Amino acid sequence: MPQPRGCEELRRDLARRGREAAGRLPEDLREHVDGCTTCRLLVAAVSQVAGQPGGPLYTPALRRRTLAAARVAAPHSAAALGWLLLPPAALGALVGTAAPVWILATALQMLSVPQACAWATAAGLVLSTSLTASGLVAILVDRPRDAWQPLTGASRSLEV
Amino acid sequence: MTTPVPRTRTEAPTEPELVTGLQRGEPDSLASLLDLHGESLMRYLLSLVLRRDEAEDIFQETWVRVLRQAHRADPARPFAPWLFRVARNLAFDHLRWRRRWRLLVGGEAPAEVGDPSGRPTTPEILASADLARRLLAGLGPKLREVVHLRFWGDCSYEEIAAIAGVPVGTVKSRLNRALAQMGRGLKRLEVSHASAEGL
Repeated sequence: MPQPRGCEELRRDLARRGREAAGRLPEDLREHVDGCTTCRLLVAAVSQVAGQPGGPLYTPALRRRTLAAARVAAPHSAAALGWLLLPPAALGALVGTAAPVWILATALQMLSVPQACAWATAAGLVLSTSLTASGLVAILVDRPRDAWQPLTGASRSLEV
Repeated sequence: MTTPVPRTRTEAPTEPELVTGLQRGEPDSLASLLDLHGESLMRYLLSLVLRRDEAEDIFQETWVRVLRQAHRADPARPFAPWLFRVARNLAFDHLRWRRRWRLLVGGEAPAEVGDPSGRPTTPEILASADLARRLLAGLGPKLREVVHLRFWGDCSYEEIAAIAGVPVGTVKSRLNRALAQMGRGLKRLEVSHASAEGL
């Protein structure tokens, strides 16, 4: 008769045989599980994962939404539009950066700041301001959906 | 150039045919693939992000990306590993953002199993039907992922490795770590149960 094996061997057996092990354990491991509460609960938990009760997650509403999103994001039209927008976007970025630098440098020179120093200061200020603004916008746009709400017990409910 | 032959047979198209259809931009192929993999993909995403609304968002984004990158799919190979890989990348990007956002504005991470933070009491958890859910919530997403794919998805080590983009040895060690961590979580619960009963 095989000797009862330990918790570690049970875990190894579960890992090796996967779902099959959760359903049916070898006799010697079964004996160990009968006498070990932790392992009994672990087998129960793994069986729950394998069985995973609950209703369907892929609902007709989700199907509709996904198909609609995919239709909107059809590959070729969006890509073509992106390329068309590239020249005006580049021009806008150039003007948007160059104009404030020029205005600020001119203003600084009027205050008797040396020319090189004025241009460097103006460029530094404008670039750092725009980088900071872009960073903030990126963070806000990509924030998680629930970020504005305090995390309550209900909103933290786990829905595996 | 060959003329497409009208489909006269009645049986459903095979997965390679659907992937080829997807590459041609046929909406029916997308819908069929969606129906084929929708449930398992949603369960996989939910096992990673633990919130249904977020899992649904990532699910949608996954299919949009699949449509855009359909030319990269190889109809001769199984579609699911590629699909799950796309979904996984999006889910982990999302989890990274969620963590950064929490660091930036403060907020709580999901409580671990055995954490005395106003959650149901230990006996309730030990007796509950969603013991697995609570145990998995105490694991990191990479460990949750292997447990879900191995026990729910019934995937082999090789299939999990293909989805996670890691060697088979890493999958094995993650699975062992996950089960050991679940065991430790259960032990903590038992200890707190025993001390609550004054044993």
